[in-house]
Amino acid sequence: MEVLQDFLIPFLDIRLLLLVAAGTFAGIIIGAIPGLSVTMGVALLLSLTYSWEMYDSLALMLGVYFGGVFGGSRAAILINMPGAPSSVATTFDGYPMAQKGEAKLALTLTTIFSFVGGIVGVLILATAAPLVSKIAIHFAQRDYLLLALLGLLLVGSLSKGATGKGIFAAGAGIIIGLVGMDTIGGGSRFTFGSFQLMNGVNFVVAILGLFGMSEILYQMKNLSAEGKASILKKTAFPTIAFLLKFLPLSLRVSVLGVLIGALPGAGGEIAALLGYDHAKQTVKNPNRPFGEGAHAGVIAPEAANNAAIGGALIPLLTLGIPGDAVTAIFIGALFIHGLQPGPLLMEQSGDLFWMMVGSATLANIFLLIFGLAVVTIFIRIITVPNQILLPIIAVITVIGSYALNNNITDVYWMLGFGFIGFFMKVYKFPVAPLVLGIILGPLVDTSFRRAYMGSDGGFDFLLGFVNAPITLILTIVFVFTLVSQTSMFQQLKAKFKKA
Amino acid sequence: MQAVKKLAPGMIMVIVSLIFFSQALVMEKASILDPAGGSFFPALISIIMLLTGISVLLQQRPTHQSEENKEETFSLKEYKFILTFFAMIVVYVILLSIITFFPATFIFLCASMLYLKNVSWKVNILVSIGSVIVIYLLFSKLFHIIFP
Repeated sequence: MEVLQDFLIPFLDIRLLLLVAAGTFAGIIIGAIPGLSVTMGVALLLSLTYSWEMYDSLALMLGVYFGGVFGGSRAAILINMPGAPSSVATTFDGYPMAQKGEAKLALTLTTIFSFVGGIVGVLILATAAPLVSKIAIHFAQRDYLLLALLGLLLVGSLSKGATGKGIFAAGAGIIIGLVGMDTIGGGSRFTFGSFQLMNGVNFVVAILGLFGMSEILYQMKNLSAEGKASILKKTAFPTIAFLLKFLPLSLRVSVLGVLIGALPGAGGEIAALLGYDHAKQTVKNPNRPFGEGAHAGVIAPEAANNAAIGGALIPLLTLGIPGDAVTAIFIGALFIHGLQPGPLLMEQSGDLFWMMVGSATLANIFLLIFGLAVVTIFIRIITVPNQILLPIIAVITVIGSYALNNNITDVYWMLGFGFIGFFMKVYKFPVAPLVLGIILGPLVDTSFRRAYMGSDGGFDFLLGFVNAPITLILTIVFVFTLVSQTSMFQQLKAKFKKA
Repeated sequence: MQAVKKLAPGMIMVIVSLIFFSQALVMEKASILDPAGGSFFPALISIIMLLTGISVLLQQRPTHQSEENKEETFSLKEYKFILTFFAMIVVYVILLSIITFFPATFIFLCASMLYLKNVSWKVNILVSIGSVIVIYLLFSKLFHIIFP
C-alpha cells in the first residue's frame, strides 16, 4: 500500500505532474534538434534545479530524459538526421518510409512503440531491478566484446548490396573511433602528431556531418522536385490489428533494450542497433526489405532505446553505478540532495525509488500524448520547400555541432564529415556502417584488449568464450548470426524451403 | 578516363587502408604483434580494409559489370552547384567567428535562398529573420550556449 502511495505521488501532486509534462515536452524538442543532447539538457537542469525540492528536480529531469531519447527519432525520420545518437538506427528505415510517403505512419509508430518500450523498461525497473543488476554486474569484458561484434554484424544488412564498401566504411569508422589517446596503453593513435586530435573525434559531430550535412548536399540535386506535399498522401492512423502484429517484436526488443541499458557504458544507441538487428533476424516477411522502409525497422530501435532508459536506471538505483552519461548526472543530483546512490538507497529511501518509477511511467504517458498530438506539426517540416529547408538545416547543423563543446573546431570536423559523406553517397559507399564503426569500435577495442589481458595467453582467451554461461549464450548467438549471413547458409535455407 | 573513374573508389580504399596500416605500425608504446597492445586491433582492421579495397578494385575492372558500379551520376554543373553551396557554408562558419552569429546567419540564409532560387524576397527576409531569432532563443537563451 505504501509502495502504491509513493508510486502515485507524481500522478496526484499537480506540481509534479506538470513538471513531468513540461520536462517531457522540452525533452522532445531537445531530442528533435540535432546537436542538442539529452545529456546537455539534463546537465543544464541539474545546475538550474539544485536548490529545488528533490522530487521536483528528479521529476523534471526524468521527463527530459524520456522525452529527449524519443525526440531524436523525429529528425531521423523527417530529415535523415538523428536528433540523438540513439536514433541512428531509426534513420535506416524511418527516412525511407518518409520518402515513400509514410512519414506520418513512421512518426506514429515510433511514438506508440517508444511508449511500449518505455513502459516495459519501467515495469522491469519496478519488478526485477535487483535481478537485472545482478546479471549486468556479471557481464565480463568478453561479453561486451561479443555484444559490440553482434552490433557490427549489422554492416552486412546496412551495406545495401555493396558489402565490400560497407565493410571498408565500418573499418574506417572503427579507426576514426580510435583516434586519440589510447585509454589502456597511454600512447596516441592516428593523431598524425596533432595535439587537438588527442581527445579523439566526437561521434556526435561525425553523425551530424555524415547524416546531416551530407544529406543537405545530396538533396541539392532534387531542388526542383514537384510539391513535396504529395509524398504525404499515404497517411492513416494504424489499426489496432496492425499495432498488435508488432507487439511481440516490440516486447522482445524492449527486454533486450533494458538489458543493454543496464550495462554500464552501453547506452541507448547500442540498444537501438541491437534491437534493429534482432528485428532483421526475426521478422520473416517485412512489408519491405530492411533499409527500404520496413515498419519493423523503425519500431524495433525506438522500442529498444526507450526501454534502455529503464535499464540504465536499474544499476543507478540498485548499485549506484551509472548506465550512461545521463544517469551519471542523476547520481550527481542524488548526491546534491544528500542521498547516497547504492544498494542501500532502496532500503533507506524506498519512497524516492517508487516516486521515480511513478515519474518515469508518467513521462511515458506524456510522451505518447505529446508524440501523437504534434505529429501533424512535425510533419509540416517535410512540406517546406527544399530551397528554404536546406539552408535552415545547414544553420542548425552548424550551430548544433558548435554547441556540443562551444568549439568552432567541431564545426570544421562536421563539415569534413559532411563532405566525405556526400561523396560516399555519390559513389554508393553506405554511410551507416561508418557511424556503426565509430560508435562500436572503441568498445570492441577496449573489451577485446581487457579480455585478452585478463587471460593467460591466446588459448585461454579463446576458452573464455565457452566457460561462462552468459558468454557461452552470446557466443552461440554471435556464431549463429554470423553464419546466417553467409551466402552458403542462405542457399541451404532456400533449398530447405523448396524441399 | 572512364576506366580511371571506375577504379578510383577501389584505389582510394587501398590508399586509405595503407595510410591507416602505416600509422598502426608507427604507433607509440604499442607492438603490432601483441593482441593486448594499442596497435594490434587497428592493424587488423586496416588489413581487412585493404582486402575489401582490393576486392572492390577487382570487381570494378572495366570489363567487370557489377551492381556496385551503378553510381548515381552527377553532371559537372550539378557538382559546381552543390560545391558552391558547400563553400557558402564554409564561408558562413568563418564569418561566425568574425562578424558574430546574428549578421553571419542572416546573410547566409538570405544568400542561400537567393542562390537556390524560387523563393520570393519577402519570404526570404521573413524566414531569415524568423530563423535567426528562433535559433538564437533556443540555443542561447534556453541552453546558454555562447555563440562565437
